[in-house]
Amino acid sequence: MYICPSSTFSHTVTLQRWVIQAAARIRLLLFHAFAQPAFDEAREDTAALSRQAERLLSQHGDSILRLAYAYLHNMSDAEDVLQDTLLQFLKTAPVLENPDHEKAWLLRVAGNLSKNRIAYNRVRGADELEESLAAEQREDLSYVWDAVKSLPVKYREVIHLFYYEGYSTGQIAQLLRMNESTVRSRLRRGREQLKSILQEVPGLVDGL
Amino acid sequence: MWTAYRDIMEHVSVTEDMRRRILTRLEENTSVPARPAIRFPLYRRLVAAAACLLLLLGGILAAGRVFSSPEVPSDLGNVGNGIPSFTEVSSLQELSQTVGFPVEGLSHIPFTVTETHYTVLMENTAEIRYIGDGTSAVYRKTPGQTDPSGDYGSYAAVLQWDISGLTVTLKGDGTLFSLALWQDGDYSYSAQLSTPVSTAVWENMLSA
Repeated sequence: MYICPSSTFSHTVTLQRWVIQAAARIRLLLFHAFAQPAFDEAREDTAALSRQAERLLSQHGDSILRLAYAYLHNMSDAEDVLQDTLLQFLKTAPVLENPDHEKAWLLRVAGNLSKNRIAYNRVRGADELEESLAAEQREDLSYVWDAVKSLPVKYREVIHLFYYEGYSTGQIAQLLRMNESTVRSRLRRGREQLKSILQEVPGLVDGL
Repeated sequence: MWTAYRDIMEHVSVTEDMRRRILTRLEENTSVPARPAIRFPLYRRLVAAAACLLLLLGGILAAGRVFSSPEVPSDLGNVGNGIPSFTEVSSLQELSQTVGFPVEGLSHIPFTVTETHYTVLMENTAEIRYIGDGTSAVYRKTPGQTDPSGDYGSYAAVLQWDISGLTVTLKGDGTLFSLALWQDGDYSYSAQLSTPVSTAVWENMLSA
């Protein structure tokens, strides 16, 4: 009996396809039975994590970015610090009692990450804020920003936390893990330096 | 002057683009990487498909039992890695059973404990949170050599203290300390107090 080779080949291919399709359906059934719950759980975890990241960014993003910028004077570096701070929070799940502690934790980590970048000379050069103030022709703000920038880091950080974030010297001491007397002394010296820099500009030394 | 500084800082804020970038990168950094697709040789796929076919044709009744099985395939065990997960349990015994190693907890806590919470973090870190009136203590134990505290801030003072033959690292302001880290055998431990205490109190708490 003669068997057409092409017909045999065609039947083999059809059988192969049928077997593969059946196997795929079984795998799909098994996936829904076994793996789907685990994947759903992982997806829920990821969704919870995303919601947490969005909440942190909405509630504390500006504060973290501004503190990082006060240290680094560069938007890309400040953005990196903001991202790394949130990442540390999400990965380490710190023990915190209330939202104030949460913000303090984030600012402490952002400060440490910023200081690490300064210590390892990993700071870019461009100061977008300086350019922005110049473009707006806000000379008064440019003077103040230049003066604050010229302060040593140890004065800048306490000045930012005290005058911008509104923390007390005791709270800053806890946040930066230093004595309150050190915070007070750095605030005083920072103010004195600012005063001497800005004394030639009328009106800017008010309140110093 | 300080009004000017606040005006300056208002120029620094999280833009929509920055927000999107950060959330995307955070998601990438905290998600499970997709498994690479593996292509098997045709004969192995056919054998697998045939096995599935046999399973389908010969085991419909058995499949009913398989679907009702609560067991999850073991190769899904790493789903969720990198995503912080928290499971609260009801007792110290259940905590030990869930993490798979004995958990001792703290004794001689320097305040009256009104609530105790037991939590499994990241599948194998045990956490006990002791709550008092306006204060708290958190104890963590994890296998390996990693610091389980989640506190990566810098402290003004870090000292090594021998307590009951263990070298304990205490972190604080030099007089009072809020964080203790130590290792014993195959485990790493941390204890954190919301209200810093002296080395004597730590010694009393950890030597018991």
